[in-house]
Amino acid sequence: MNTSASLPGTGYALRKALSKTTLRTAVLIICFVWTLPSLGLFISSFRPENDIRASGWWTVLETPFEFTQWTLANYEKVITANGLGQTFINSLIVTIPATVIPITIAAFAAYAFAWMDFWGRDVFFALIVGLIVMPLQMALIPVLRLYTSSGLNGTFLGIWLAHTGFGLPLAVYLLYNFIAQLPRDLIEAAKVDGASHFQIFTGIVLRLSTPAVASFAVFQFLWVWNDLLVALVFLGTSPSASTMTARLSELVGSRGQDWHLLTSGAFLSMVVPLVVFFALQRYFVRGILAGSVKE
Amino acid sequence: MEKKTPSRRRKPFPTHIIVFLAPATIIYTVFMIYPLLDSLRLSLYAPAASGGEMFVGLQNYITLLTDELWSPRFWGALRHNFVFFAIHILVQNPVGLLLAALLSSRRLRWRATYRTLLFTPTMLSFVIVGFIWQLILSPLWGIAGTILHTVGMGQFFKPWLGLESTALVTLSLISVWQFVGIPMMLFYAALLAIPDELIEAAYVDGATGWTVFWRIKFPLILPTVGIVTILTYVGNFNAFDLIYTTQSALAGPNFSTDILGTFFYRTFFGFQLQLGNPTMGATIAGMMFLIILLGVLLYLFGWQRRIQVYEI
Repeated sequence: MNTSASLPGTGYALRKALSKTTLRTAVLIICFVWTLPSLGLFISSFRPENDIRASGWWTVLETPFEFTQWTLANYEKVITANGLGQTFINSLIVTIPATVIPITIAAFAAYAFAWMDFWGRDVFFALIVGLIVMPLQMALIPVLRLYTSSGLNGTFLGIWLAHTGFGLPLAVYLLYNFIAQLPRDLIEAAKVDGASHFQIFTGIVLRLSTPAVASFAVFQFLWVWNDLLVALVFLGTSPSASTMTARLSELVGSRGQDWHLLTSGAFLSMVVPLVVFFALQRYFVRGILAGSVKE
Repeated sequence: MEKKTPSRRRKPFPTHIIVFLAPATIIYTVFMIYPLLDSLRLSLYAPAASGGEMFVGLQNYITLLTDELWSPRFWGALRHNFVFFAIHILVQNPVGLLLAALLSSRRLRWRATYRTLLFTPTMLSFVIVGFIWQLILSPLWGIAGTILHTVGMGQFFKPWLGLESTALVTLSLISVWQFVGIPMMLFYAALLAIPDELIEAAYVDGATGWTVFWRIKFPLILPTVGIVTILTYVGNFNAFDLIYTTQSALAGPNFSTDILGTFFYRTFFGFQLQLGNPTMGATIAGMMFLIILLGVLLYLFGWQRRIQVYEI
């Protein structure tokens, strides 16, 4: 590295260009390998049943504009005949509140732990974050018994609250880490100006915490949307209330033969997480950049 | 802002603290603390011959650790959990860090596209992931065998998911494929948060990309490395769905992919001829809790104390 530093001539420029190409090639190859399994499934979902059984999905790439080999039949069938349409709506009804509620509750708590003084704060915080270590399995049966006795079993309210509970330790931990690192001067200055905790929280802290909120929202949304265990235990498998994942897993079991239908079902279940990810990714990056520019 | 109230001078009743903390406290009590205590209580009971449950002390734990029917399953599942964890720590997190480092390079165009592509498997549910890989690895019509034969390495193809010696490693690698997006995103966010001036100053001083990464960027993202390690450790004990969907609750072949999650599920809910046993299930959950707690405490007091957190 000494030679290149002392001789910043053509050799240096060449090396820089080379490493740029290497970098791009490496990333491209990794992305290709990583995407291939999903891509295969995606292409298969548009192929007629007989074609799927007769040949591999890559064969369509030889003649991509031969439209007879493409069909929407798999999607049509899986949405109407297999009741995936209703479970899609159920999944939305379950997931949106189960993401928003824990974020709201955790943000309030994280602010209190970071910027308020009260007796036993550290112990209380350690207890809450410490419960990250609690395996989900431990909570299922006591909560189920509680729900049965209070009539919450099988209701959306019940599953919102359950997901809120299971998501809170991580939410409080991630948001606290972020909120506690906000510049003290900023909070103190607002206090001197006479702002209340609530005003500081909504006016300053929440707005600056976008990156942390966005990243937790992505995790929680994906977790709830793709969750199978909690949905099975608290909502059951009736088509009117069950989520998309629960329904799909049932189809995998009962329709192992009809896997051409599952390919389209799989992609329907991916649409919403993709949209959420795209939407939050923008805030994610922008929030982080805005945060570091302000310092 | 002119909202100074005279009551500020006396110390007011801390209504604001209660308002900020009450929702979290209530949810915690109902969904975490109560179930934790209730499960631990249940693990000290056994079904009585007369019906109902009777207190047996630590007998369930002793049975789990030493009984000739229970203990091989328990120790086997625990060992598999650690293999599962080791593969994630050694493959998933380094690959995630590498990808984050590559993607955070300013010379790379279309970074957002690459990031999204790599994150795609994470957006799939276990049900779909298990389904995709069963199709790929199937010895009958899977593409994996075809590819290996084409490049002349056909003799290396085996039904990896069906062999006792390879099933667990294969499933761990499938899980790595699925979840590498999470450490990648966390590392990526941490790397982006490092001020440019710091990096530029190092380059001006003649440091190479390699040196800059290990001497400047890596120490600054150490807290994230810690979070990722803890999340991997805890998540590994919650792993259940992938094995359940590909190998069923029996975690075959011959229990070679049985981890504590599936062991718990079989015990608690019952499977095929085996009846559900809530008290032994609670005992397994209790053991899982103790093991996770032990690991996290070791981390907190062994490692967290030693790492230096740099102020950016």
